[in-house]
Amino acid sequence: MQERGTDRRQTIISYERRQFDRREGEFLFHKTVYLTDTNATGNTYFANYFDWQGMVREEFVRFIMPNCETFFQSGIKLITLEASMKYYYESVLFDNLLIKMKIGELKRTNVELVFNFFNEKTGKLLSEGRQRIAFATLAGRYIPVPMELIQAAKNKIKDLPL
Amino acid sequence: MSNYPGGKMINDEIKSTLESDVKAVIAGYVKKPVAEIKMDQPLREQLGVDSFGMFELTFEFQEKYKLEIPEEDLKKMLTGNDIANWLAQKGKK
Repeated sequence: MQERGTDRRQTIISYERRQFDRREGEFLFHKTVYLTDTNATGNTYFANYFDWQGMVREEFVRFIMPNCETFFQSGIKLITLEASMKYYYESVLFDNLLIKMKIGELKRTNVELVFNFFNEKTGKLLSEGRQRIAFATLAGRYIPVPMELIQAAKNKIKDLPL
Repeated sequence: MSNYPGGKMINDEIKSTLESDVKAVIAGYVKKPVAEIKMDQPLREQLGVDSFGMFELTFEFQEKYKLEIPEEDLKKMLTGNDIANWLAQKGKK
């Protein structure tokens, strides 16, 4: 019997384990800061945030497209056209970060991804990042954003343009 | 090309329409007024259109005119004139 005042759904879907916020259309990624991530002054080295952007986008592709290995083995290259970060607060050893990523602008030729880095404990927004990616053949010729990928994203994110 | 007397006029009209179309797209892409865009200006060197920019520009024309620009033709497109001429040639076929 369910205890009074408890929501059974909460025991099934833990916020910490959720990978996707349907309402906001945001992919969620959890990252703990370790010594390997920090610099001499003890806070996270700035360039790691770019690495984490990369990790999150890869996990996102895997999330929307479970067969993504086949997709990438088909000879499609992902090209980062630009990437940026804005830093507001530092993170330090053992901080648990929640990285939220969503699709910004989606065009037939490229996609913009938007990242927000939060301290999971305090909820404070630590930094924001953006990147624009395009696709190319192995020979290096740019191609439109693959429809397979757009369709996979549409299956997860409502109100996606295109 | 048309053989009837008004044919040249029609071709000139098409060319002029294509040119202003190409100019408008280039101007929009490089964020400059249309008046500042010259059709013989090298897109890469003078207007700063990089390889991805060329892809985006030509993609717009491909979508608009429902044509596919082959890789070897794309490499030859160095100016607005090159794009307009290519579109004019394809339009004749």
